[in-house]
Amino acid sequence: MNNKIIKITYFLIIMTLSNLTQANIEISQYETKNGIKVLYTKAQNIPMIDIKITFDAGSNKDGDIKGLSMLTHSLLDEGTSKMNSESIASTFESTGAIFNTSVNKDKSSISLRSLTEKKYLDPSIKMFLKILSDSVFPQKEINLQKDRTISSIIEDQTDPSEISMNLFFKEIYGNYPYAYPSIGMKNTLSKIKRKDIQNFYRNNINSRNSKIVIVSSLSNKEVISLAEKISKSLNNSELKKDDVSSSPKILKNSKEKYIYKKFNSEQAHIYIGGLSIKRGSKYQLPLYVGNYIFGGSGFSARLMQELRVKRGLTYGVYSYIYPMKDVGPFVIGIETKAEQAQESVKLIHKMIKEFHKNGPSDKELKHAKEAIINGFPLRIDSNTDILNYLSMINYYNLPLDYLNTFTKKISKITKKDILEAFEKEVDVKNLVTLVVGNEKAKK
Amino acid sequence: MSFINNINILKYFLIFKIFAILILSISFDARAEIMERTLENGLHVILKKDARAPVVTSHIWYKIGSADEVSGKTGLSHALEHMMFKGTKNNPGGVFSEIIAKLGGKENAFTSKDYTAYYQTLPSQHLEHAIKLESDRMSNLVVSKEDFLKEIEVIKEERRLRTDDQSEGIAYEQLYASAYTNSSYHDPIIGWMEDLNNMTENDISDWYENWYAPNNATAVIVGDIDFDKTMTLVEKYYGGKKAVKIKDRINRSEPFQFGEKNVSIEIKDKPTYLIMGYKVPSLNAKNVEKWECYALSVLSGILSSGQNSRLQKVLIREKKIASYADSGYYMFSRNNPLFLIDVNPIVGKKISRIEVELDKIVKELKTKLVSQKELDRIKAQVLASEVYQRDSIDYQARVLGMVKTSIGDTKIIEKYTESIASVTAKQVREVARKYLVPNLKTVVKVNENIQ
Repeated sequence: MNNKIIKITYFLIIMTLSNLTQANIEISQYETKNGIKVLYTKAQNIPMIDIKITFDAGSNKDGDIKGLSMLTHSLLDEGTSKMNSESIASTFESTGAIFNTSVNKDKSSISLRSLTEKKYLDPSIKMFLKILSDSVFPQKEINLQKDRTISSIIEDQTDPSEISMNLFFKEIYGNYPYAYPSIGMKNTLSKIKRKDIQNFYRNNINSRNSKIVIVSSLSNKEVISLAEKISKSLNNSELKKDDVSSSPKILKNSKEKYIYKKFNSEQAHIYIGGLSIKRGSKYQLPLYVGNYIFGGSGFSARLMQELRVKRGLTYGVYSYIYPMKDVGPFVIGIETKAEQAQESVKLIHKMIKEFHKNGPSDKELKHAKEAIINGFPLRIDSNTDILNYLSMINYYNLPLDYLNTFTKKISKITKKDILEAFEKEVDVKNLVTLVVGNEKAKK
Repeated sequence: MSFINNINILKYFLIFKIFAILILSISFDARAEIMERTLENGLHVILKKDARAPVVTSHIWYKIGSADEVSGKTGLSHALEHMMFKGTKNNPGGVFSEIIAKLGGKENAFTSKDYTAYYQTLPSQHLEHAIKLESDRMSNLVVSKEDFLKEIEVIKEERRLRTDDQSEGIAYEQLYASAYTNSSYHDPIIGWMEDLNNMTENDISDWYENWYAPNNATAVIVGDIDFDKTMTLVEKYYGGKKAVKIKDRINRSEPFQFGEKNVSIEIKDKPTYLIMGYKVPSLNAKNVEKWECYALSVLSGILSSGQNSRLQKVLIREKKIASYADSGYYMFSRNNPLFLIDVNPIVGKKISRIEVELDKIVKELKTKLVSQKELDRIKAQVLASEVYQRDSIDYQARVLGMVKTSIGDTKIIEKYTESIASVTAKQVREVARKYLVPNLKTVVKVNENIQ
């Protein structure tokens, strides 16, 4: 190791309000020789390893070719210069390893789960590295994957929950990349060429926009050596700059909007909301707590209590505020039989306006803070949870003690903070309301 | 119960789509970490230690599900599960849920054909709260007419969401209703809408009185626990409850099927879809050797586990006529289940072509022995899943609860990997020959004639 290597160890200690629980996770940080930030932790009890590499390569990087990022990721394990799709799958299947990719609007990830016993680990890691460095995207596999994807997009158009969600995001985001589903559209997918996929792979599955997280029973030395191998497998060429000048802007809605779309289903699918905040906004935590009380905490939330428990209008109603790299949405969602659609819409409008004006009660706020803070051990009680938690810290450059300060910050949030955050970042005067359902759901 | 976890009811999304993984991963490490005891009142208790995090999951499993229901009264077990969240004399309304939430816990419940289960997962020092609240709910539930009338509307919304507006949900329901003539697996877990319309709060109270008792339940607690202290807690809160006489279960045996059943249904504005099931034995089946169940499980792996499995290879990659294909077999069910195969054709491809290919695949299984390579692949995956599944305490508790409630003996869990490993190519061919036959087969096709 040379002096470029940083290794910090940080003990994460979770204290619940009652101060009785302690969960220790030792997080180590390391930087590979070519500059990738690695977070890892040792989980000794189970002889397995989880690796997750995150890239700045979500569907927001699709450009005009909607669906490109997801298609590229889904084809990563479909061929290298020496192996075809079948033999790659055989390699993973015969070691019990699980290779996976995921794509959302801001980012993407490639992950591997394997046993750590050498006879299983070595071949699965070798295959994994080969995919990172030498994926060749055979034309045959591209065609197959495109046809399957287009088929499932057409099927989605018969599903009222998919239709309503896509319409809602289109409505609040206009032409911004967040408006489009990551899977893409029929007309854009059919146009994707092999060249587009190869370019996307070269430009975006790149060490310069990646972060690595590893949770395993391996020794520190083994993990560091593995991280170096991963970093060397990734393309390290200069990143192409995004062309910012021509990219569309997000425009906030300036008047109340109501949209109805007819669809032949018993239930109406309803979305109400608009735009809210970027990740890192100073209002993020007050909005988190406020939304938790309003619609983000399942049964204890106001929406569930009022619409399900008190009135029997629905099986599920919820709200969320999702901070993204750019401005994320504020969304309320519900399904109810068509005849009850308008009653539900009116009630939700009334409730969100009331919450916006008066905020939570003292009891609700106290209860929510206790639930959030005491619930922390459950967020890191498995290797899977720890992996995702470390991945979030690494990707968003959060401090390693994020969780500890998070609970402290939550405990200090006041009703005034929540009122101010909702006033600034949840525009209840200009809500977009979308109803998809049969004619009885119409206004 | 909760919307967010979405695991309330069915098996059909829970087990169906991820079936292969679930089945292949049921197995356990050292028996020494498990403690089992039956209290004097008949409550069976299973404790398992996993101290990786200061967290515990506490489950209670009742041996009551839609398989115990009769015509005209379907959906009772699931409706009762909903009503269990409406409060008791001691903890009225939503007090239970409120306490668990404040302690940082999460809770939910689920109903299947065979059982109804409730759980709380929370920081381990609060385990006593969970046991106390759950034991109270075993005997002191208040079922009011007012609560029932609202909740039954919630259940109907759940039915519309999961079944009536989902063509795959309808097809799944129709498959069981068509395949089974007399077995109570004929009826959907959530119940027919017509029965939900006729249900009353008295039906719910009767169902509760009949089946919710310590001698019809299993408590499963997994996590950062001390065995002796936890057993003391369980005895403290459940020990005082009296056993009740559990009614004899109605034995609805399935009569002989005279040939293949073909059901063609039309659902407006929905894509084509095919689902089929063969009646096969569960581990409970009499006059059937146990190896048959393990061979059927391997057979399902050969068909659908991984990209090189038969269904995926032929339907998706070679013939390019399906976008999705799966199979599933669940040996731990109380009565004889269906061996399922389901396929989503590529839009525009005919179901008849899928059927032709499926017939060829089945025929090949009966005539040719599967290769050693295929068997090894399945076995490697079983071994890996056995390790991976230790990552979730909730999953570990579920396996214990399911097997104890439906089969009766958790020892088979220990032997699972070994039993799968000993399956031979000849045995796979033999179960294919014995069970993949017309007079055990039912097929449901959605929109087969619509282009």
